[in-house]
Amino acid sequence: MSADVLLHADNVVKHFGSARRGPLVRAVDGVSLTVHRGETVGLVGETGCGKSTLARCLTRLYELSSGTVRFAGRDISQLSRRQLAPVRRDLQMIFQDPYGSLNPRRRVGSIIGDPFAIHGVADGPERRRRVQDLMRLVGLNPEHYNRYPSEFSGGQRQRIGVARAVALHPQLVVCDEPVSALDVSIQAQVINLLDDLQHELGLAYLFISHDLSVVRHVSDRVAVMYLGQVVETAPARQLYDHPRHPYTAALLSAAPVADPDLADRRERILITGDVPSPVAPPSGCRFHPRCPKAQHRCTAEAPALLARDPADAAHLTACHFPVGDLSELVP
Amino acid sequence: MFRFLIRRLLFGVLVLWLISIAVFTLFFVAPHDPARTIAGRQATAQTVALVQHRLGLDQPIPVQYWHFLTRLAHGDLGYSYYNSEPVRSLIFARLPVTLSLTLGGAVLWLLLGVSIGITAARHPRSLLDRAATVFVLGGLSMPTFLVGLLLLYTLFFRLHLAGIDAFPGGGYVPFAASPVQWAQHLLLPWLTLALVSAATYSRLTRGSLLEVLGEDYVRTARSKGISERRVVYRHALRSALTPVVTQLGIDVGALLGGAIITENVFGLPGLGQLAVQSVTTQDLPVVVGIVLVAAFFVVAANIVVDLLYAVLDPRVGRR
Amino acid sequence: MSATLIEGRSSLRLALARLRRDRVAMVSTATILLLVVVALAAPLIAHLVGHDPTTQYRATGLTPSGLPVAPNRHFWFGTDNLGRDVFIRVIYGTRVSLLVGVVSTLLAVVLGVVVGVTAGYWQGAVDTILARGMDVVLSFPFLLFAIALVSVAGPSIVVSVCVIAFFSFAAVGRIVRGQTLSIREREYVEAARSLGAGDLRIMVVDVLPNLVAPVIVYTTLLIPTAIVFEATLSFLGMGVVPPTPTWGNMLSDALQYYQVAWWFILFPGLALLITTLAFNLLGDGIRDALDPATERLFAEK
Repeated sequence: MSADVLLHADNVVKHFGSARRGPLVRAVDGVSLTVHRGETVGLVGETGCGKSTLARCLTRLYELSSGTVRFAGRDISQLSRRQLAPVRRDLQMIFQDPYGSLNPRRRVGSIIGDPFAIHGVADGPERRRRVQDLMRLVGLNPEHYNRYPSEFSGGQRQRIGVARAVALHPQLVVCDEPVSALDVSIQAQVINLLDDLQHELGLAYLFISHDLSVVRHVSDRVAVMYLGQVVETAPARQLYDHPRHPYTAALLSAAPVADPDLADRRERILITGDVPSPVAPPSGCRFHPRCPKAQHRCTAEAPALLARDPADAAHLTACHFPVGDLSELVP
Repeated sequence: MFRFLIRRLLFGVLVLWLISIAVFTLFFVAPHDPARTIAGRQATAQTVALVQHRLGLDQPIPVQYWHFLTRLAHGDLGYSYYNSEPVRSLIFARLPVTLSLTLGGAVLWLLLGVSIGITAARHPRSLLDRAATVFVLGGLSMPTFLVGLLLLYTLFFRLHLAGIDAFPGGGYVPFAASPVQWAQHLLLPWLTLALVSAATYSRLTRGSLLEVLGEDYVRTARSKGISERRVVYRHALRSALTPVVTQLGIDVGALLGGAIITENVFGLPGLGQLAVQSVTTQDLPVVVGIVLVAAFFVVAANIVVDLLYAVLDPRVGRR
Repeated sequence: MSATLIEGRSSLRLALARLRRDRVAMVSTATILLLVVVALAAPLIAHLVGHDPTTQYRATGLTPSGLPVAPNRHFWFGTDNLGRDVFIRVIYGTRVSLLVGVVSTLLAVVLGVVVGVTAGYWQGAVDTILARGMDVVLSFPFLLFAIALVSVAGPSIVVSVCVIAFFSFAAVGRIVRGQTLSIREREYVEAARSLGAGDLRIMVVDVLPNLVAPVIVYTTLLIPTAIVFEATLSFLGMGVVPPTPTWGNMLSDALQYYQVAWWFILFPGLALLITTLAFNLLGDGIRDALDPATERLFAEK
């Protein structure tokens, strides 16, 4: 493993429920993922595919059912809360809901100052100064130090969340749908902010979203999740131009394209049916009931996430019959 | 459902057992020397020691507790210090009084509270509703004994002065002796118990019914042309009354408290009066006995209410 | 850099502003303040009037046949069966009621918050035991158990305070536990944990501030319950004992003498009623100011 690897998740599994009480909800069922220093890895998938659960497993907000997570060379999967504390300075998280992720009864300055307080880094006027610096950094007016979250807009609140997350200059920030709850015009601002911060502070991001266009814009590499598993991983450009997994191809074809001529020329790949429940996933390849290319092998044998094309080692696909040409999928 | 019942029963037994420990500790920890109290102030040390031995008070605590428990299991609650009668017979003699009072009072407060609540909900913001609100406010602020005193003064005393003797001011006539007199003597006590709690229940009913009346299925019923009366009584009331039933379960204990006060105001020879008297005379076995009997009734009543609730709402039993 | 920091108006401050506009709540507050002043100034008032609460004024305070005297110039509220000045006794009774009411409520609230937050935050076995425990305490016949406790410890003001606090904390604890259960699921608690905050810090810094509003409401509404509880205990002879005057034991005397002295009931009863009414209305107003969505008990037109 190169020294460049910041986060490595190996076969992470998270089940909810207990076998006694009935069927388990297999939210995350064997996910392996890598994030290198300074890069942005995008994680896409539809609602319910387990991305948020995975995010919380990686940051140890949830306990893993099995599997390991290595951060900066160290296995953090089983660490106690106390042992995790120093890790938390370098591994941070930004949350989706700008209204729920800030305590309405606390002043903004206090909220952003939390990391300094918790880790004993700065106190009193020194802390105040650093918090105000942070506010400036994310584009907020430092004079609003004593205001309450309710006095800020959604976009500004996300900035507060960002300020809080980068306060101690972490190495990796897990962004769980950071712009999904914002208006489109504000989304761009926050994304640009994240981009600037990445350059300025040398951050790595795991950027989770269901919005393909956003992920494409920010990511170096992208992983696609379906029903608790990663089905495809590739450098961003590669993935969007030449998707290999039928699911990825279908997702991309469904994404709205601004240019109407381009949209018309595009072939629509339709998938039938609904996403199955994570309680009883289909056998073999989980996507097989909805896949236009499914064959008997797909129902029996779950495909591994491998590089299917020897010429392209960075492009991993979990499919027995990866897509070569998109026209294969159009009926 | 069955498992739920078993669990509930076990919990109830656990609570009773814990209470027995608490009560026993209270009794044992009492700074007053029970033996000396019985023997009398002039008794010699020898007499006191004798009494101690006879009562088993010189044995180690766990042994005493064991005896206590076994006697309890046989229904033996000990003997009153004051008049050497078995506590059990004292309690049973007075039980009918307290039961008459509490059950009648509960029925009355439910009737009053629910009907006022329904009326208020059916005519929101009207004069009736405002009057009901004042009633509620008064009830919530008035201590039971004050209500009792006021009723005594107005309905008993002043009417008595005016020559009307419809509401006796106290005393108890057993039901067996004369049902009419039994009810008559209990009228003011029932009213006292009822008025204060009726206030809470009327507010509860009103709020709950208003909420239910705003729901879609009620609107559907109305739009079908069903009369308002039927809508309220047949459709809305059932769901509106669930919180009332829940509250009733919680209030069983409060009912007992109210009974104690009322018995003391109106001089009814029930358990409440006995309890207060026993404290004054330091007759601890009686106090202990009453507490245990009361705890038993409260736990039993709670289990019954829980069961009822489980019957009404099948989701509860399916744990 | 500019030193002017713009102060945010917290929701509490907004609520205070709303409260000030509520006439009923303001009248209640004024009444309560008046009561506090009266309680504090009781010795002064006694001095000015010239009577004290425990002296028996047999000459002027009793009729020739030994009966209490009705309200007149000398005894504004009349006298009691021992010739004591009812007015002064009612004033002194304010002290006991307010003291016991407030102190026992504060104790109950502190205990209830600690237990409720612990149960709601930690869940699991701790929560089950504490929550069940509170349920059991809540379902007890309070008065009977209070009486049992008094039978052992003897009636006194300290015992009253402890007893009332013990039987009130469960109500607060239950509510606090419920609130904590929902608060701990909020994303900002998750965020705090992801920052590395310990449980204690989260409870104090994140959970408690969100409890302030309901706790204030409950405290204000719990005080009149405590006052009534004390009055009831004293009425039964289990609370504060004579000669210290408290409205409860004065009304206990009233039970015996009301036929000859209606003022026995009226004045202590009125004092009790006004006090509890004021606190109840204020609590209602506070609840409305903090959350205008809840329906008022005593809605203004």
